[in-house]
Amino acid sequence: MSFRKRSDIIGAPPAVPRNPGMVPGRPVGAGAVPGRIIPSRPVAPGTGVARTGPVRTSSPSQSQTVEILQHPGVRPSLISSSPTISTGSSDLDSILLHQGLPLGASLLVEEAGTTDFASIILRVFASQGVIHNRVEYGPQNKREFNSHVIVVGFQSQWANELPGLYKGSSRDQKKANIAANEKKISVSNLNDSRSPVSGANDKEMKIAWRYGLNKKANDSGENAPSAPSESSSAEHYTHQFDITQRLTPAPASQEVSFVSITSHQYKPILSQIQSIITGQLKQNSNKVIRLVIPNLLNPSTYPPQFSQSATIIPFVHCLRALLRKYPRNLVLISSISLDLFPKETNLTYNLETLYDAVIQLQPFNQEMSQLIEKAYKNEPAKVSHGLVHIRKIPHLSERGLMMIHDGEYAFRNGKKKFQIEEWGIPVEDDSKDEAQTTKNIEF
Amino acid sequence: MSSVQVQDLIFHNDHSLVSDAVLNQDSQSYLSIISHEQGTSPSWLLNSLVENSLVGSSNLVNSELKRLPNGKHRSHVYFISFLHPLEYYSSGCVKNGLDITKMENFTFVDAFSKLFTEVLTDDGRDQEIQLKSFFKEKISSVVTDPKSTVFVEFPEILLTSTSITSNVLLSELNKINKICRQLFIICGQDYPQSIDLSVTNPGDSIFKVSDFLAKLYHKSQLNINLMPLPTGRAKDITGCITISKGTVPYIGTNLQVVEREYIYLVSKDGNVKLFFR
Repeated sequence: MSFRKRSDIIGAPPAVPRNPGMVPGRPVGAGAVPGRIIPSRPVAPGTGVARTGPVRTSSPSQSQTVEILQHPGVRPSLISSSPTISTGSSDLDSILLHQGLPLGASLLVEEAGTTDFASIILRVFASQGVIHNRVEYGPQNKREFNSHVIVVGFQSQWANELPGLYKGSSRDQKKANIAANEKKISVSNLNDSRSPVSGANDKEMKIAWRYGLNKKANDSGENAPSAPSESSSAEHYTHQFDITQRLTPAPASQEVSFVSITSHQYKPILSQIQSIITGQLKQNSNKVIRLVIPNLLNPSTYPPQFSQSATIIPFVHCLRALLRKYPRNLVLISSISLDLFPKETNLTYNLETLYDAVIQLQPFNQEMSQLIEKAYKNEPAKVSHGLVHIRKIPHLSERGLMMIHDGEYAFRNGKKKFQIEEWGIPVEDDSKDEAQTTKNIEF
Repeated sequence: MSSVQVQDLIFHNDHSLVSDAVLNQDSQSYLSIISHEQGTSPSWLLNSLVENSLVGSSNLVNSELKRLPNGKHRSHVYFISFLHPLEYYSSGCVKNGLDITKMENFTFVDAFSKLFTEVLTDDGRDQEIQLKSFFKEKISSVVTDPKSTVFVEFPEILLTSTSITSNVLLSELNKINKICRQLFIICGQDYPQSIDLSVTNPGDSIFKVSDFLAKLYHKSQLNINLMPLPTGRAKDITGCITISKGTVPYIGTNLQVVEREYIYLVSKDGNVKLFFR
């Protein structure tokens, strides 16, 4: 007597025997090496796998919204329910109140001083887009080119410096390396495994208190790093990046495009951006395109004519029109130096008007930095690097809400993440100085 | 704030926002300026004024104003925006119970989507010709209903991004004002980023915008200004709205501007509360 599954068709040819260790639908070799992510081949137009799902009778914009929400890097805004993507920094996502940047919106990062913290935000933003191309998602663990990054004004060198994923603390990384080495087939490992004394299981029995720890480690090791949020629909929404690491493998041409500033006119640049967007959306209409413009109007990249109002304002106005034209696919992030274009100028004011979200990074001066370092000398992780001023929040500012927050947040650029938290003036502890007084006190 | 009584917003002595005395005029036309600063976008006010001009009610800011019966309309509304597409206003008016995309007496003139790609394509002096052509073909010829209210949002971008002078822009807006009953011009008015009367260089964007606004204020009947609290951000107050008379009276009517100052709160769900200051 034989048994058939309910889903098997009676009379159909027998199913191909499953290859142990292989996942149906997954390309051969993918996932063979743990941790390695190989991007899938680009699908030619018209040959891609058709999307399955219920037949929708809603309006095109509604159906587009529903489809884009199936993207692993998109989820509804907490404020407006509009599709929102992560900036790559969970703290920045939080202060934008939507838990990210809504699709079709733009973010301007202004920075005062000679530092370049804004570039960290932009690189993390780009990295997040690249990483979304490399995740497996959905019930079939499919992987596709669902995101694209367009970088304006820089060459491929910029993409080579994108930060990689944070892999844990150095201790965690060492443990992972040891575990990986133990799995490798080598003479010493084989000897170790044959030896009854030094077997992996015996190691765990050396000290009694380690049982609990090992159990915990095993539990977390089996499921980490994605297990805690596996059940949630937004497990791939945002990642943590390590600015000391580089994104490997480096972004491919299918993942990042570059638009160089070749003339003092904005229209050729605009047409290039437009053609890239059109081409990418032909491949996949649900692709999220992240337009990144680092160091806007920096004289090292932009010709002097570009800084004139008659050029830059129409350029940004056209970008705004593009964002409104592709409200389910395109987002824009830019950075600008306030030393070059102070806030009091009409140019910066108009740029702020045309962007949907504006934040300003104001690094601390030397005296303030010294004061904070002194106040937190026992807790170096609490030392902030500057203030974050919020000028505009997508949707809310336009709707008339007063969203200007001056000096309410501080940022700290660490290895693990670009951290933003509520700012509080540190209190200097002078109790020791008072205790060590050498004066003779007469009563 | 809970003990303070919520007020209705009124502009005129007949307890109106857009008065019947204005819309029923035969020959006169009137100008109002809505100025705002960064952080106090007048979106909610515009939606309320559009609602009031179209159907008579203004649910968010004045509960006494009632909708005209039997689907009647008060006036034809033309909205010219250099900053937003139609979707922005249509989604905003949903809160006011209006679907402006389906209303016959609402016309949106999109001066945003293709402003610098199709309308003002040339650089230099030709832009003035193109702008005049745009105003004539796309706006003046469209505003056919004499009993109409026209809104123009963010026209100052033409001054800051082109070689067009403030006098040329004023001249074109004047033409629109003459063919409608009520013209609202919505402008940003931040000092010193946008206006600064001490700037004297005619080529400076700030000079052009300052000149434009100063001349506009000399022609208006009603000025509405929205600005944040001078003391900074507050959780229960969004900003302050000031209603003041313009330099020109409402000729041909007995209408008077009720000069008042309100503080207001816009909540995340879009509701607006006004209180006397």
